[in-house]
Amino acid sequence: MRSKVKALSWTPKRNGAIYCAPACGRGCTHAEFLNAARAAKLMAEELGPDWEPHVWENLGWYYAAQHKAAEAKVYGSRSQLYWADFHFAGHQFHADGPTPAAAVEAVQKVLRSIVGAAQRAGFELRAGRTFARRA
Amino acid sequence: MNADPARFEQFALAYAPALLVSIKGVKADGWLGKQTPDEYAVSVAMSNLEVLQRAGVEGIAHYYLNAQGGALRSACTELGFEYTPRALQDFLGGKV
Repeated sequence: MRSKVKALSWTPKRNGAIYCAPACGRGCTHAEFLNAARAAKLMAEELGPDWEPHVWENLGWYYAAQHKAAEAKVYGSRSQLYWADFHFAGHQFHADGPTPAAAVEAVQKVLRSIVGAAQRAGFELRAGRTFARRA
Repeated sequence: MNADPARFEQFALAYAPALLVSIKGVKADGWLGKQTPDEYAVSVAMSNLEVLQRAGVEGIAHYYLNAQGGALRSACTELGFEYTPRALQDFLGGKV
């Protein structure tokens, strides 16, 4: 049954020091928004020209840097730990690090190890070996 | 549906400390005004709990993981279950 209740908007509204969407309702502040926007901009700049800042609200203002071409994001954190989240071919690869670049490097390390393992497996297959136990 | 009061209190007692830990590390380079990071963390924990209580059992899923996901997850682990919006709803509704 379709709900008759109208969904609240996630578009933030400014009311003095408050900058918060009706759907959030926490009373998030404009200062929090500015801080998140600044942190997102700094993070995107640190990661390089392929990255752009992203901020959003949901019980507080949050920030990330989004890769312009790939499905990849690095999320900022209040605990000063950054989380990189990459999606390739329907698979998710993620890792964290003390800096945005370290988080990205940690994901790249995971990807390199997977590629290396796949290449070694391919060599084994080309060499006529099999992964299945022979009867 | 409102959360079961006893369950919400249990949740609040697990969630607030996790949230405080998450927020206390905030960089207070001017934007907090006169508030200290500790005061800010307490005010955020209070306002978040008010919102979550107001949201009720169904509404809590609305806030999902992109809002202090770490704190929500930690709280649920502390309460003995793995966080999903549904699992939290069932806990707050007294179903489990």
